[in-house]
Amino acid sequence: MNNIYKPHLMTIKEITDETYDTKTFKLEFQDKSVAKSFDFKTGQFGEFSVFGMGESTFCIASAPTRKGYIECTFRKSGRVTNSLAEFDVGDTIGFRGPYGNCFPVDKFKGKNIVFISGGIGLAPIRSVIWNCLDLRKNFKDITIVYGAKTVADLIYKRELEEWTKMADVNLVKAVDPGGETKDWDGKVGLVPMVLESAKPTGKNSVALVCGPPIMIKFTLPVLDKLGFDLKDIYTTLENRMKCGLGKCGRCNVGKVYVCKEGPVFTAQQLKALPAEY
Amino acid sequence: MQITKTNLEQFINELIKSGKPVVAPIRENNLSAYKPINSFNQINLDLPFPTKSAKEYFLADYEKILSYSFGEKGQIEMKEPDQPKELILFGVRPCEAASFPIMNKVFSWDSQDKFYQERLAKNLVITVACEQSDDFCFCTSVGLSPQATDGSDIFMRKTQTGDYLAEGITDKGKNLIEKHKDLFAENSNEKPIDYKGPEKKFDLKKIKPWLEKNFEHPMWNQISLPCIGCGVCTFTCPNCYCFDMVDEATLKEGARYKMWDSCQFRMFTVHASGHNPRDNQSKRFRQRIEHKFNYYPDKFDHTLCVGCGRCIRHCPADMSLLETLITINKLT
Repeated sequence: MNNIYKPHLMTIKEITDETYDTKTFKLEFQDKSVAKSFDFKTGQFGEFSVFGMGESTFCIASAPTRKGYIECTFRKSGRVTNSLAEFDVGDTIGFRGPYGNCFPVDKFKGKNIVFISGGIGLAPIRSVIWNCLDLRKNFKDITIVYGAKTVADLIYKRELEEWTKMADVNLVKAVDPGGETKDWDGKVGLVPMVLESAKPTGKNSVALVCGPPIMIKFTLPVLDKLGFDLKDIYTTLENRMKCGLGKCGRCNVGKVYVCKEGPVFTAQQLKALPAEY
Repeated sequence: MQITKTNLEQFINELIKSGKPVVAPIRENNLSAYKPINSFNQINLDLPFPTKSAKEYFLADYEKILSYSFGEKGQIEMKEPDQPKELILFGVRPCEAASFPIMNKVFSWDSQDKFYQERLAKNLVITVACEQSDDFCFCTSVGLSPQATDGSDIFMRKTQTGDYLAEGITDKGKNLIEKHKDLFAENSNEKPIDYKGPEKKFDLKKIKPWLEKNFEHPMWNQISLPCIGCGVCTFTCPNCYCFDMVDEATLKEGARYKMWDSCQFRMFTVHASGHNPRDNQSKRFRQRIEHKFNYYPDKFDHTLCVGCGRCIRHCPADMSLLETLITINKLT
């Protein structure tokens, strides 16, 4: 019988320092046959491991439209991530995945897409953004609202610049009041307020939201005001996980395992769940 | 088939001699525990029940799921752990035997957890029907009984004269009896002790509908106040399966382990950000009840409780799952 807990080995090909405590790894499978057959959908996640330290759950932050590698972005926040942060290009880590459901990008065809994220919550959203930008003609207006506590906390800074330059992307970046620098050219304010003043239409639109629970809580009423239907608002949950396979019981919320039935849910689906996420 | 007490002794001793570990309840410092035995004489089937259930022989409390070594240049060499050994469990209670296939539902849906599957396939369970229960037993309230054969390979019932009636339930069980058939005789007219079990204490059918509607109910706060979050209820439970995964390593080699965890612990659900969706003990207590009597039945069509009473018997704060369920019945 297969050992479902056995990871694939991956080599770190590139490391990007996103912020003072957040890094992005570009990873390639060591086993060529796995590299060839591996496929995933945007929104899925994996269990990334440091041998000797343990596993951590991260979303796959790269887009499935870009083959041959995956990326993950993590913040130093525990045993595994602190250890990962010490790794160099060429080092080996473990990976199990892809797990979970995905953002139904096919369903977004012909619609406006509004991406809303805060802090490191941009990581899963970034996967969908590139997925959609690589298939740009399938979608109408693309708006990205991204905020962080301070300028230093913004991740994917190079890509923020890239999106700013794109004529067919409306990027609204913001930092919390007090987090701005002298040369900050974005907005100052909290994500829900910045979203409200950006006024994207809720008509024929979907919204993808990921960020701290408090940001999501105050963003939902704004989306309601803008005319978004609950079934057109998507988010991805961050429940603590271990196995990723619907066994260990940790991510159980009501009748679902976030690792199997999620992590992507619509606001309508979340409404039916007990508020334990 | 019928087996005399003397022949039962010989049967068990032959099994021990055959080299397979035989696990049975033995007495240790006034407590009972499922342990590997060297001789039939060690077995003690009387009350009290073994403190820990026989779960650990199916879902090990601490189990290696991967070994690895570090090469000189940091390369990783992975190795599969050894396969579990065949095991014979004797004197298992019917409630506990029933818990093994119930728990298998989660380990076999969607993907196969080979660590549970292999043990389930290899272990042979010889259940002995209960002749007595204590105040905490409630198997009859969750659809089981002292004569329930679910999960057993061989089911034994004591007769009035002290012999045992043995029934092979699975092929595995039938084959074992066949192998030792000289120790068994055809059933005589002797009747087994007919113990009815504890009286029915609540109506299971009413529990799930109430739980579905009352996630927010003042009862949860009131009833969970004494809980100190020690997790004894989940560790002694034959059906609680939640586990953690951890690594242990030296500079040269290491291993990844799967080990019991508990939804009663604060750290069980805390996010990397520090946010904790179940941030107080009341929510964690509610999760245990909801999971067993609402979520698991929804997903796997079975209540995740066999009424063994361990969570009540061993609770240091005198909390009672039974009282909770009776209260829910009263609120319905």
